[in-house]
Amino acid sequence: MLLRLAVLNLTRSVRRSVLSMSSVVLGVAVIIVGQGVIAGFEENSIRAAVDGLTGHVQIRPRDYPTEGLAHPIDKLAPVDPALADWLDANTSAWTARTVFVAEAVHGADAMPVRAIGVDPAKDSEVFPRSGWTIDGSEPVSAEDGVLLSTGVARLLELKAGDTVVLQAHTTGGAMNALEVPVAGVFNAGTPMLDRFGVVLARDLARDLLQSGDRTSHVSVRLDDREQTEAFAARLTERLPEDREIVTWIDECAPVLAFQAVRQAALNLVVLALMGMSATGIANTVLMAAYERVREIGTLRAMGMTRAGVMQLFVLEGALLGVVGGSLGALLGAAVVLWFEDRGIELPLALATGHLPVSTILYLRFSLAVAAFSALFGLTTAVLASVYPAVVASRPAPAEAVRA
Amino acid sequence: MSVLCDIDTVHKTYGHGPAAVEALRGVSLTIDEGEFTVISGPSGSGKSTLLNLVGCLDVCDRGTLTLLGHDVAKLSAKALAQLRAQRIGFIFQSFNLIPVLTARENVELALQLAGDTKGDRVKRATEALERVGLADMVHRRPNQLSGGQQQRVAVARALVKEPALVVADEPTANLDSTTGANVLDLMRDMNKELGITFLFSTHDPLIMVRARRILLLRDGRIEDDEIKTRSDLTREVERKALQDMLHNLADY
Repeated sequence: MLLRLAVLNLTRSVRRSVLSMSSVVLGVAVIIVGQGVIAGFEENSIRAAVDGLTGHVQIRPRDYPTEGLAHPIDKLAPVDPALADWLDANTSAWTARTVFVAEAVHGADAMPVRAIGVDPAKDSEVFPRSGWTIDGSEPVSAEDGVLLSTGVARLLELKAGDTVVLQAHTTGGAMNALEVPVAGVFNAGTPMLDRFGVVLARDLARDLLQSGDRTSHVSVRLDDREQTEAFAARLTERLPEDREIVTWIDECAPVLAFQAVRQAALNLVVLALMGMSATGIANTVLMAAYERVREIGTLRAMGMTRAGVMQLFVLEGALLGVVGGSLGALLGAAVVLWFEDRGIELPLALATGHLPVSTILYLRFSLAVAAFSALFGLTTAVLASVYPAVVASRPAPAEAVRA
Repeated sequence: MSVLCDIDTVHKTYGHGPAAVEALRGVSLTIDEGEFTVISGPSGSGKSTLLNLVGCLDVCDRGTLTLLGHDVAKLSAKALAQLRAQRIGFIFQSFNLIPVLTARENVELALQLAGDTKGDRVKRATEALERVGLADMVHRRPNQLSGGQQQRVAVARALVKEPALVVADEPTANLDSTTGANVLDLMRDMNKELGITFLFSTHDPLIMVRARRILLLRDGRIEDDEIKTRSDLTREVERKALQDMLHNLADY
């Protein structure tokens, strides 16, 4: 009966109840969407690093530069057969790449590019192409030419079927240039690749650099990215002196560190919204308390205790919290799930420097976050109704009953 | 007949200092079980204060008030609430029904607060409404009932828990004379049938006609306390009604 009375009391002024409840709905939805965005950014960064740049673990020359367009080729080395066997046995997939700086020339236009010589047979096992769009085809041999990124193709006004001149220093220091066909134009959704990237078959890289079997990077894909640190520790023991390991965790560190700032900003917004919700609910319950003094007196006369009156008003606040929290959770979940599936296109300007980010942000839904947010809304509503409940229960029955 | 309420030199003051108002100044009286008693007197005479004290809505400053064997001043707020819930029914001038609840739910609420089990409540509440002639209106809300019907619901609510005492504060003040008389007859019947004690505060001659005992309160003191015969009361009421009519005619 008390619950029914609380429900019916809320229906006395539906508009007022809906308005104060809507602040809880909004607050809870913002928490869920905000957390979805933050988790999405985290996943976005990890995916960009794992699928576009390093794989789960990458072996590269020691003291390899990480800023600007710098990819020295003075420390290229063949993959040690023993290491190759070990990688075959202990990884889901691995591949060797040769990354170097070249100049792409088309007519009078030229620009520096990040050239990546890949093993056509194995590269896609470590760096899946599922998120790529390719206009044309990916080269599988030296004769096929190169796959240009959209950034390079746009600046040099090239398209699949055209030819481009790639010139680079060989490992011996001489200048070499090759005119090659453009097999296709790709967009990987990773600005670091899409701005300056040129993908070519390893044989063509060898021809240009005169590098033989030597490569700059070995990238590894694991069954489970959570195994990365343990695997890296085991791999370190097998590394040659002149090589170092970089993992997706290292690559993502700057982005993940920024997550703390995002989280703090979200917390502030949530705090402000929940403060507004609490004020709205407190106001609603307080107004109800002032409007129903005589009823409260009647209930007291009929034997309801002060605690019973407080319980009734807190229950009304809690109901606003339950309904508002649930609706907010549904709304927030709907938004996050919608963009988890479709993604949000980010402005390219967001991806600057060497930060691993993808241009498509997929929000991430978490049931735990949704449940926590709804609970948070409920708690806020309950706490906000305590003071009005105390006020409501304060008048002496004899006074209240004649109010 | 045993004593229901014993009031001994009770004082009650509201406010402090120069603004203090002494509402009751040493009232002493005894109310027996089964009485149908009226407290009368001009406004500000202390009628409502006395009702509040007897109904355990308030406690006195000095003196003792013993109700159903309990020294009320010594009971905690929770114990007072329990006493009200189980042994005292209230009927108010403005009916004081909970507007969002139906007639039956209003009555049921009294049972719930008295601690009755859920299964029994609906049946008892329905029976109480049948007893006051509202069997076909159990699902109506207060705003769908006339004033007289609302007061009947209030009577059912007060009586459903079979209290020892019903405190009624000007129960007919907001009713027309016919409806008021019907409601009063209903209460008188309950008094006779169930032996429930009724204590009214009123100016209404209709109630005074039906009361067996009239307490006249003035300036916080009992000025008159007499048990009258029905013929005495009827004569008094008729005389007063005639005076009022002549007075009104003179004005006209």
